[in-house]
Amino acid sequence: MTPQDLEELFAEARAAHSSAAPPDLLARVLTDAYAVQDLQDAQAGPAPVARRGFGLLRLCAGLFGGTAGIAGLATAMVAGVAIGLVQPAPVSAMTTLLWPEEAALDTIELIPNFGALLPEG
Amino acid sequence: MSMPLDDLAHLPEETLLALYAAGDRSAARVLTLRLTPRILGFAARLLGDRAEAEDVAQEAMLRLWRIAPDWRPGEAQVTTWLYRVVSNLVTDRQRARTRRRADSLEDAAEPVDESLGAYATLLERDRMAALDAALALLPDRQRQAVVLRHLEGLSNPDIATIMEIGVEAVESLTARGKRALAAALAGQRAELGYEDEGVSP
Repeated sequence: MTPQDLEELFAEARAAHSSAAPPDLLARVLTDAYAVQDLQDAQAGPAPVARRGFGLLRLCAGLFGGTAGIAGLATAMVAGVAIGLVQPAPVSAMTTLLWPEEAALDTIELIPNFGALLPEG
Repeated sequence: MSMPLDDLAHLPEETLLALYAAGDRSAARVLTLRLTPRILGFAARLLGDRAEAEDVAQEAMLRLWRIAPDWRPGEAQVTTWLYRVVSNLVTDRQRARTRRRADSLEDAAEPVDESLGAYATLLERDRMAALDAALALLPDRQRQAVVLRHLEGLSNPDIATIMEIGVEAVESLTARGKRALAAALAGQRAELGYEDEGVSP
């Protein structure tokens, strides 16, 4: 077969090749197209509406690193109060070790008893 | 939101894809009618199996729909991108076929007959069947390059982009592919009606 024969064959093939795709395939492709379009529309959704209220809370949350920061602070606060109230044994032992009762500070009366001044008055 | 089909018919694919991403149903119809037959023919030539080619064409178009919102104008041609997707899908299927063939003892015992006699009956039907049969004998990359160049009418730089190789490699593949095709069809020249024409000077 000569190169010219081959070019002729290619030309015939190009012409035959341009025939339409089967209708059921076109329908499937178009169904996919619409489905993807609908899905993307749904995912895009309506424009977000600004939430009202809780302005101070949101400001604080922003200052302390968002909701997670606020949650962390609240947990630490609760833990601190609990330790103070319950005074677990290890904490009490540590406190006694650092500040024994003998080393308790003496109280100094900086303001004299007001009652003693009255007779002179 | 949809524009009349007549208004869209002459728009480039990239514009149509942008309209599709914006929700235009008509753009989807125009793109489907314009692109599906092209990639179906391409896939069918590479795979030699119409049903499988339809699956590939549908999958490639689905990927196009999905990428539409993220399409970056000017970076690639829609058709070139689609041909590339089809090429990759076809390559995956050809590899799967090879694996299945290797796994099958029957197929292993009966290797593919690459002689002209294997498609002699097809050659007798018509030229197109003969061309398809001869194309099927080419190595995958040669077949892909020949189909893209001579049947899809793409330029060598576009083919190089699709196949992810250099332009020189494309030229080499198409030249070798054409020589192999001519050799494969040489013995059937008379049956294909070339006996009185196409004589080289």
